[in-house]
Amino acid sequence: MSFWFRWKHLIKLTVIAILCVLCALAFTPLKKTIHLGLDLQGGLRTLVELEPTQDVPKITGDLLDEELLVLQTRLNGLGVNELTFSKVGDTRINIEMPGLKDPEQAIALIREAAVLEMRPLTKAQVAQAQSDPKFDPYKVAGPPVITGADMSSATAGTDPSGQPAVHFTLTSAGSKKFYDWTRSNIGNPLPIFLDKKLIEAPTIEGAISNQGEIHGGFTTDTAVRLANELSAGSLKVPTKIIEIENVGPTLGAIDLQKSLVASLAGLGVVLLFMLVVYRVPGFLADIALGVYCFLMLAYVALFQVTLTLPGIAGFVLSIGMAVDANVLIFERIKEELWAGRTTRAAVSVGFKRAFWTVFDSHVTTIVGALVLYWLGTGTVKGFALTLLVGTVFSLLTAVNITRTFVDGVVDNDLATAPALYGA
Amino acid sequence: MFFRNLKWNIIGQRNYWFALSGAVIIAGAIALVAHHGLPLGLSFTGGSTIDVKFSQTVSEQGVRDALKSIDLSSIGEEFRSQYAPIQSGDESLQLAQKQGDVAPNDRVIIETQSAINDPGPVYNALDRAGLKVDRGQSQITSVGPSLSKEYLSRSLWALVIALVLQLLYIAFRFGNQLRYGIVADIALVHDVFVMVGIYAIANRKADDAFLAALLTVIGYSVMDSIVIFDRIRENGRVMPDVPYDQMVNTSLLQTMTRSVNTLATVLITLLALYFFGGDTLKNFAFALLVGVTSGAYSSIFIASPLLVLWKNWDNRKREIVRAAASSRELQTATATNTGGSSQMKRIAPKRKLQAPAPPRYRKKRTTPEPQAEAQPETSANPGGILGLLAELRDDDGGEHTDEQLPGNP
Repeated sequence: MSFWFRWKHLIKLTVIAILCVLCALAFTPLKKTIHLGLDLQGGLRTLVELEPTQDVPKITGDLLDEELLVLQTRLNGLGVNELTFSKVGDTRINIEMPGLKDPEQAIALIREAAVLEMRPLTKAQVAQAQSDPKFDPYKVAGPPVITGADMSSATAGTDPSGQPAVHFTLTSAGSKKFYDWTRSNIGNPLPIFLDKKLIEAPTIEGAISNQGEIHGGFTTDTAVRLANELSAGSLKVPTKIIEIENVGPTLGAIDLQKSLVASLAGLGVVLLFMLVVYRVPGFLADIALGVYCFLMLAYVALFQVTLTLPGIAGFVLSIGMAVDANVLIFERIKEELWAGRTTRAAVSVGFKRAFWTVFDSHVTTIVGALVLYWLGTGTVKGFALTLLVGTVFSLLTAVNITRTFVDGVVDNDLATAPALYGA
Repeated sequence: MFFRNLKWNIIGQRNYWFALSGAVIIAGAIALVAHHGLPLGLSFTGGSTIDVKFSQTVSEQGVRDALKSIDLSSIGEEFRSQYAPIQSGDESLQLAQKQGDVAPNDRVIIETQSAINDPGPVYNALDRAGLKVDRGQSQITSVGPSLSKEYLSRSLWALVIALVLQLLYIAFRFGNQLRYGIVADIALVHDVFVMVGIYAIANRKADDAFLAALLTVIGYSVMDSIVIFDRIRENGRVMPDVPYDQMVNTSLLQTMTRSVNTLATVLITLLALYFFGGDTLKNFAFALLVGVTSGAYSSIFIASPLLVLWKNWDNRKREIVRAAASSRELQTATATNTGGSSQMKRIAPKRKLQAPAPPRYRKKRTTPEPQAEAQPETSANPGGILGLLAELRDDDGGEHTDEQLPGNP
């Protein structure tokens, strides 16, 4: 008992100090532990919707998983470090590619079904397809001889003349089919369709078994892309990009800098305000606010929250909330002091009486943030989440930690004059 | 000390405050009608916003011509994609300036109603027309038409659900006193009206940031009303002899420092966001600045006077009923008092509530201070917030009449 009373402030302070050190360890070095959203470092975010077709009338959970895997395999080749894929509802996939340099390439990878087919056409049909743009050879082509599914691998390379081309290897079943067909069709065209468009129709010069080459007028980029797509497998249903956000990297860096300046400026003036208006407890609340910032940073680092602009806004707003609680409490303490209570009693009563109001203010904010997190659009969710977590933390720091500091000062008679409390 | 010593009759000036709010809301309504409803942002209308930074000064016409020369659908043909043509007559183009842009007029914001989901062809076409695009400082946001409809309906649901939840919380907080709950609701709706109205007047587009601000402000407004109403209820018990309107006015002045200081701290952070933050934050901060100010204003200058009005109206009704009852008693001096007495019964408990016995706090006040001092020590458990909660719950459940309210004459 007496041990506790004698040392409680020191023990509590030590606990808080240890907490801060742990937090600091969690979020240093900042550059490595804090994940910046693509609006702060540039990059691409898209929401992709899978569209049912005649063959696949319903998007099932399995299909969604399968398509996600295909997209993942395709996009992994882009060299983005923090690719994140998340299912949204039953038919959508949200893809975030922070730091992506070449959005065009990524978009093409996402939207192409990459269905490669070899379907027979007559020489006359090929000639008509090359001269008449309105003619759709896909409609008159015969059933597919082989498709992308018959390929075991595909790589990008060049043809003997140095033009970009895609080399493919067929599976054993595929090569048998292909060999049989090419052998009986020497001299005829070999039309290759990609996503129902005729990309080339070379003449068959001899029987081909398990390897081949597609020219199709590629550039190096498109050849790499097609090879990539063929290896990853084709999408069963077409994808439709229904939302896109692409931020240039320099712009993201500018926004990051601006929002940091804004947050720090806001924080600084608030700290000063508290110090000037509430003096000793204001100073202690400032320290508690520091602890709060440490907690938030540690949360962002440990839970790998992606920090976005709206997230920063939520963070800044929750600083206002944290201070709000302290203003309520300190005003109450002032009133109790005016009522003639001793400092010690005023502090104790002030914290108690103000608590339910502080609690109310947090509950009403949490209600709003929860609804927003539940129903809000993609970008707003980040705001809702940091506001939510920030509100919970601020209830802890603004009430308990500030109280620990103030009690420590009051109980040791470090500041007893009412003037030191702004009264 | 400043506000509580002020002889500011907020309640007496209520008609001015009502008129001020009315004027803002009516102006907002007119602006709404003039703009054919609230202008909605990209996430709710669908379409694209392409923010293009050039490495040189450009003119609006130059960019327009460059865009005219391209047919995106043909560019898409290059690699088997389908693009919506950009030239459909419904896109707008405007020169813009961002902090950090050095050259004048080197940024153009293109808004299209069709959702362009690949910025590449647009940038390429502009490059080809000799207007070099700085891709590092450009951005595109695009939302498909079906998705935007979904976002809009979800946001409206969010608003409705948040309102209902806040109403439930108010009902829970003021369960037995309908009056406080309803007046807090009116303040809430007032703030929503003011925010929407000011947005319409400023002709700003309501986007998802606006929704976020709206929901945050709703919470803030409820909280602010609760703080003031709590004090009014407390003072109602502590100073039963003071007329209601004076008591409310005193309560307002007592909580004014708190109101101003909390508003100040929130406004400081918001102003910082508004002046130093980027475009996204600016829009959001603007909505919150309007909403938070309105929320603080409405709790003091709208909700509290309304409470007084309600009370006055209630008293008048009661007097009429009482007068009617007594006159009936006079008229029918004999046994027709069934109706009258039931009315009397209804009134009786309410009157009792209004007159708590003050001596209790006097007694407590004379108790020596050490008792009060002992409190924190018995409660000093390391149980953290739960311990604190339990302890405070205890306190809340107890009598409040022991509380001496300072600042009362």
